[in-house]
Amino acid sequence: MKYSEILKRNLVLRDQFSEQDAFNITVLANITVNQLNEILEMHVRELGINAVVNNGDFDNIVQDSAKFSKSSCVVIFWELSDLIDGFHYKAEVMAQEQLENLMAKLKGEIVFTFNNLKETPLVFFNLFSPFTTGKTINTKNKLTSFADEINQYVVQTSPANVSLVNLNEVKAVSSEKSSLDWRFYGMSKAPYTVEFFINYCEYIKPVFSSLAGKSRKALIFDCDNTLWKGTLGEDGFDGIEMSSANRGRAFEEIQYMARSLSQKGVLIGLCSKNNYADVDEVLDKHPDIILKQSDIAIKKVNWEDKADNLLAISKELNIGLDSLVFIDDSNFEIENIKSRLPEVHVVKVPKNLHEYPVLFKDVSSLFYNHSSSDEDALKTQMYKIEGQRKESQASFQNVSDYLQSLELKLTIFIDNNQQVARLSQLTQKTNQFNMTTRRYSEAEISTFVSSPDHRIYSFVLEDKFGSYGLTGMAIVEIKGKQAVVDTFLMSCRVIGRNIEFNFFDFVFQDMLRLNIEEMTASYTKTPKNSQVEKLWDEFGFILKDDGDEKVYRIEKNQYINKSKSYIINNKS
Amino acid sequence: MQNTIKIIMSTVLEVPLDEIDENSSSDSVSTWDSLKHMNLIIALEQEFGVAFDEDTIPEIQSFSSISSALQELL
Repeated sequence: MKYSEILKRNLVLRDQFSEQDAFNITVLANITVNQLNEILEMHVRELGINAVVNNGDFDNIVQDSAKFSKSSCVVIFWELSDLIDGFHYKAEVMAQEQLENLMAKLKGEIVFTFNNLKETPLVFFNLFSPFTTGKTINTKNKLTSFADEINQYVVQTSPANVSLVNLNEVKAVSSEKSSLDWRFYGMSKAPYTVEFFINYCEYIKPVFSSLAGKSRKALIFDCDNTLWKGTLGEDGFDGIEMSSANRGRAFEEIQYMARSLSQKGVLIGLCSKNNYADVDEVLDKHPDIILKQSDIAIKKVNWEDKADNLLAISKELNIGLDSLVFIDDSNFEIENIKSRLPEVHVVKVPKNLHEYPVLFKDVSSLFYNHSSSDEDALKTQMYKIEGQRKESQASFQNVSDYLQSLELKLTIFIDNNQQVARLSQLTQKTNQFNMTTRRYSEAEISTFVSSPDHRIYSFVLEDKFGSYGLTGMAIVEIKGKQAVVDTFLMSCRVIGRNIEFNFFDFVFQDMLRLNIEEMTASYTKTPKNSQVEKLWDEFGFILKDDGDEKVYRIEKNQYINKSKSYIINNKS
Repeated sequence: MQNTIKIIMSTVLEVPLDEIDENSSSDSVSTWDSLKHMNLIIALEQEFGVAFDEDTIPEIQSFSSISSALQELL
């Protein structure tokens, strides 16, 4: 995309956001990077986030890190070349002592900067790298040694809110040559090209995508010629290939990568026109199979329409169609899904099989999940249990009967320090059952946990099949005699079990113990949370302000408990 | 070509197209500072598929000088 096209596109995007709160991004740099502003704005705005990018003062990273710590995001371009003017060519002749002094100063500045930005939700920090790398073996020099040492230090000292960017990888996307323009470095200390900035934004975009709740959650494979070479129905158990020992090498690689995604919490599923038992036999017994039954969260192996099967998958996994990625080798199926379910991201297996693993690596970034808590690895397991639950649902007369039989057990926590990572993740990823959809970083959650004016309630739900993990939370602010519900959300995994009633009763009763007289709560409509539009009405709140943000109120003696007797409240 | 230059100038310098004319220069357009100048050069180079040499870049601070510099390269 040309720079002028980016400017135009960015203007169009900007006008869509007039009423949304801005997501402030500050770029701090010791070089000139002003073209990054519009390019970054455009990339982030494309995700539905109203990014507004500003710059700190030129070569004022350390001071400005304190000044702009309240930004939603800070991007830091700290170049070796301008640690001192021309360091990239002066380093080689500098005395060891000078280099050591510079190193000591830089380390101090970096720690200070990280500390200033400790409350900033998101920080991108580029690892130090010389503008150009060597073209021969004889490239180890003082500058690269300096970079190696400082990078090691950065890796060790950077806190969790800092995402490290490897500029060598960014430059490698196109080339070093097309990433740098020495004319403008000489004139304006602006070494990087538009092409470089586009690659940079693409490189960090998955983080914003994850924050916006747009990461995909499930990867669904057709089987034949997507997981193995050949058609199971025709070539048979012994005829299909998925090993580096035969023509199935690409598929072996795909299966390993899919398995790794599954271990990171991505749900792997099958949607295939085959005989169910045949596919099961392959999964259970094929000597070359890498992807095992235990890696697969859902299977729709039958002769029905694939769009219908994907709809069923979305329903059973309780995730939106826009959370699905579907891989198939047939143009017919790809076009069918594209036209019927445009929200599903479809991927066609390339004709040249050696391109398949390369393409697959790009597709993997769609699942990038910024807040990595250990809940993810357990998720596949939990969704599998969900499958069993669905099956048993059918044999009950009504939903209450069914819920009763689940032996639901709710354990509620207040201000639990150990849950910060998961709580932040819940605010970032929950879209459907979410009253206000406010996204919070780990740093912000930490602040709430320790603040006497806020209480964070959270719960772990269990039933007879196992634990759903930490799947719901509320943040309540205490303003004297008034309690204000800032956040109330539940993961889609536990929706439809009436836990919200028991959970909220607990919250309200706890607030009464803190002598509140009334509580206010609000609902902010988003494209995804209409299912909870009437929740405060159900809880008995009175609507006070019917604007974009609906505000509700209830007095302490108006509240009636609604807990379901079949849910056992556990003391944490 | 003249019109394309004007459109690029309008987009990059963030001024309405009808305010750009043959007499526009960094003296008459208040948003035309050194950073915008760099952006303008890059946008023009991408549009016309050319590269100005580094001595020319600081010199072409007006519509007319840009236009004649481009003519030499095309």
